[in-house]
Amino acid sequence: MKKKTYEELVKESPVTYEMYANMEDDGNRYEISDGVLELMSPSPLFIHQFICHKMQVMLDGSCRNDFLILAAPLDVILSDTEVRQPDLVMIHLSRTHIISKRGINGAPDLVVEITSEHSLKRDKLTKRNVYAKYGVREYWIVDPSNFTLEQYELHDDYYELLDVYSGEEPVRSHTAPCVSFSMDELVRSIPVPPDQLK
Amino acid sequence: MEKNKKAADKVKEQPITYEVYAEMPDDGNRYEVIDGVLELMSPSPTASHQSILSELIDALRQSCKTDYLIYFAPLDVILSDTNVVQPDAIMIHRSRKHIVTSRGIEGPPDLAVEVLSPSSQKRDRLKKRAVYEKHGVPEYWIVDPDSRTLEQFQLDERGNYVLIQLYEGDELIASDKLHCVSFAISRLFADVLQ
Repeated sequence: MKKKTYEELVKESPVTYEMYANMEDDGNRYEISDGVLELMSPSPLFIHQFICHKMQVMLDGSCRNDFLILAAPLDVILSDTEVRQPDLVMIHLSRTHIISKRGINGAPDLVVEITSEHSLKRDKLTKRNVYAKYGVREYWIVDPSNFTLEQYELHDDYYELLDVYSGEEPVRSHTAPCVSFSMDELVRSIPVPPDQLK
Repeated sequence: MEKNKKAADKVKEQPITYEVYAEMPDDGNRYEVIDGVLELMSPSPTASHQSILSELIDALRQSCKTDYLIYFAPLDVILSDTNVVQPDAIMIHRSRKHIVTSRGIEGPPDLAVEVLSPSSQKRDRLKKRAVYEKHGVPEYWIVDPDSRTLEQFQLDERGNYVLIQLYEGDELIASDKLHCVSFAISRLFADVLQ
């Protein structure tokens, strides 16, 4: 059977994981949002990729004995019609059964999204509701425009904003007590002058 | 020296009330009282901050003036004896104008708005949000000059703030609680020079 293109799939509803997994690879990345195929933003900026990489290295450094830390692109299949690609996920080593050939089948323990200009609405509004609905215990939104980290913790089905980190203040997490870094550590590790990134 | 330190510690420990705050000598700084703790407000806001705030006040006045009283900081909003804050902008429905007194605003406004500064991220996003939530301010907006967005929070039936919309680009701001509100988010940044 001929593989379906984005143009063909986007008209169908609901789009399921099966349809998504069998679509024609056009080089773009997609997510399924409540049964709707969504094109992800154009390729991320340098700062986005740098923060993602550096956070993965730092989290791996302090948490590797307890957690698996993985970076996008990787499918997190929350349901048949809800498939997301978070920037970073942390999965406790006692829950590695949710890992399959396709990606992650279920809710990671902690999800990180690094915002970009095109993804603010998606990260702060849509994805936050989705991660809460599917039981992701902790959600971080990292904003590279001002180097802040918003930390949300799940209470029943509701994310409570627990803290907003910036500067030297160490990030602490109930979900992952091994976490230990500050936003300034990230800023200091940027290898080029800030003006070069404007 | 030792004695002074002890006195300073004592001031830090006791909950600061509106009375204590109101009687403080004027040292030229602005303070707020959040959960009984005196907090120095950031240094004077930037030109961008003030430009955004004045555009916001203009926009609100244009469409909401007949229904609401519209004020901007500095103005004490006395939510309780130990929570006295100065939101950047507030709206109070004219039917509730009795909460406007000689001391400031005594009770929750219908809308509170904060325009973020680099030094106020944590206070605006976390502490003041919690204070507005606890004291039943039905709607809270956070304007972020870096990302040029407006985040709209409303109290849900459980009394928790829920982010119901994030406006960006040229999107029109609207509210099912504040029907008169209608302006494009881009308008706020029209005169921001950098």
